[in-house]
Amino acid sequence: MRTKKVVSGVAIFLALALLAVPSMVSAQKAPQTLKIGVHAALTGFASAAEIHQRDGVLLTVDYVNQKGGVTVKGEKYLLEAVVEDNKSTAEGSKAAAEKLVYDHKVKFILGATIPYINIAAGQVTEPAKVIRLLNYMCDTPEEMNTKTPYTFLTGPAIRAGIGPSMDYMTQKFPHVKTYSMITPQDGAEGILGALCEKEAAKRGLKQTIVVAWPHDTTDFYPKVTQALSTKPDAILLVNGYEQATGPIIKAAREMGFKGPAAMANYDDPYDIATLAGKEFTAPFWTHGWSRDVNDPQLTPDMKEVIKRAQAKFGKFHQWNLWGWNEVNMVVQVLQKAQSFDTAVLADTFRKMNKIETVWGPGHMGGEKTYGVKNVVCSRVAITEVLPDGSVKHVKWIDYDIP
Amino acid sequence: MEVLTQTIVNGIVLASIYILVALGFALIFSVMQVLNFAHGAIYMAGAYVCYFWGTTFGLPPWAAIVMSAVVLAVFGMLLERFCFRILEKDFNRTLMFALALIVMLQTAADVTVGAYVKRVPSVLPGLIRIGGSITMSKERIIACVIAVFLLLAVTLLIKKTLLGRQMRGVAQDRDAASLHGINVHRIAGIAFGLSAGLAAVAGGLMGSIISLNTYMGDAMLVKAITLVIIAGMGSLGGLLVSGLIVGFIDAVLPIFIGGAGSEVVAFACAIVILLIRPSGLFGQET
Repeated sequence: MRTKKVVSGVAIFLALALLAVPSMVSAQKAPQTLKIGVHAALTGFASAAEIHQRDGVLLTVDYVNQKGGVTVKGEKYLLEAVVEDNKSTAEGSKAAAEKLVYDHKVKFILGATIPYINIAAGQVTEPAKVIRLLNYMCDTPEEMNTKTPYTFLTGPAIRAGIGPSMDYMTQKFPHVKTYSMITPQDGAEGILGALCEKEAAKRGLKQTIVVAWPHDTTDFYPKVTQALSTKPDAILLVNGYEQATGPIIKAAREMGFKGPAAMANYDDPYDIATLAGKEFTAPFWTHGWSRDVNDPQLTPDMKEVIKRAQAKFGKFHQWNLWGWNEVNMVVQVLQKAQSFDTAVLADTFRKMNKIETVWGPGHMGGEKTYGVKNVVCSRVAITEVLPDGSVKHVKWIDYDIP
Repeated sequence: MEVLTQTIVNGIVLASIYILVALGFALIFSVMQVLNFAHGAIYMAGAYVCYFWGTTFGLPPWAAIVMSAVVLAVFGMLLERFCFRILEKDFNRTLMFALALIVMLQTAADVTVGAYVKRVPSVLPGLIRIGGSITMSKERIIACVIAVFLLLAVTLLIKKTLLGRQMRGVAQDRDAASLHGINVHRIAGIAFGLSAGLAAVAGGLMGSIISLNTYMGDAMLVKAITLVIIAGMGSLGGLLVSGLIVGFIDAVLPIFIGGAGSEVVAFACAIVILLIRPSGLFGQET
């Protein structure tokens, strides 16, 4: 009787142990989660672009996780995007950064775009040594300098776009000798005006006026009247977003300006044509991108983003590309560094000789310009809106920020 | 000379745009003494509803604007019946409700239509030449004409019709108007409906001239308030003058000074007028 009890007890114990082993094994192999912060404007004027950047992050996180996530020191990690709204304001930016850093304890923050929003968030992320990947930068000194070693610029920003825009202008329209510059009034207009003047002088161009418009401008006619009062051969828009660029181009054309107009940043050419009127827009080009997945000049990554965005959201927006780009930067840096120590990650990032961007191969730069080698340099597109309103990718231009 | 001519034309167009947006706001303020801070959001909703009628149902732009005005007028009447009427004696709660309505309408537009670039199809595409050297879009000219027409129509409604007399009666003394047999709630409903309908017309036209975005009403609300303060409570006709003042400030100053400077000057004018003549340029002294 006693023996029977002992045998029964051992049998039950072995059975339970056998049942527990698979769950122990699966628990050991289950990937962990790595949170990535997304600092984006979900409300306010900047939301028109940054909502799509957020969407790009979300679909890239899905893509990376479908491929098995990221492996660091032999452990698999699935990515999880944590999104906070910066409300398109400096106060909102700081609050969003604080939530991401102190509540969600992220090591990476992706976004944002506008100078005072970037600067406000940096006041939180830099002391906390959180790696911040900016979509875009307007070149104000406070956005990136030696005191912001954890802030990286992951894609082309305004400095990368000005030269190529001017080069294309002088090549395609050799008669153009003067231009007026139109830019948002966001604290960067003085710096960008001086930068454009310097670049223009190198190319034999003359900047006749810098016209700055506040972000809450409803009617651009007065500003465009000011810009055209100097009778420029061309108009150069420096920074802005589609909801402003389109009406500016429309106003200029309605006022009889027929010369070339260029947007030196990455506004969507399709949206510009919609807002300005397809019959009005040309001659116009931007560094935004074509959506034609059959265009052999688009990179495989760009085509992948376009298809995935159409499948997930029903529509592609080119700001999805920024989100994709940033997440892939995170993956590349983690895989190279094999560490979660942000000082090691930042150092590894800076030293990467080759880095893949959604627009093609890139390299690190920016040390001479900003004091830190924290800028990913790759290439910009010249994308034209043709007279019939269609959009054509003309060419890629490599750029370097020394 | 060309810049001067263009500036004058810009000023007239801007004045018309502001008058168009401010008319509904001024009407409610005059008749009901309600500062409807949600007016900007209703203007934005009108623009999006107009876009919806034009794209989903394929209505021509004119018809889309009219349908949008009808929809928003009904919305305005429902707002009055189920919201503002309940809160009418409490300024703070009315204000909080209006602010909440702004957030709800903006979020609804973001969630349904999304943060994609959109523009209402033009009511009258094409350009027109003015004085030989100036060209302007026909849709801007139409906006000017509609603004003046609506201002005249609403002013005549208030001054010459039975409904208008009843509205003035309610504005003077609600209780006395009620004692005289005027259905105050009916008048309030009509006023709100008219106000929302006017906002929708403004939104539809501006959604074509500029573009759509869910925050397009915010800046316009500030303009509407500025115009009403300068014109004075109870003075719809005074909107013409206040519209021209603010329109020309916004057309002229940005040419010479930084963009936000014109806002400062416009507000400074409003403050000075409030200090010197608190009832506004054409308002009635109380």
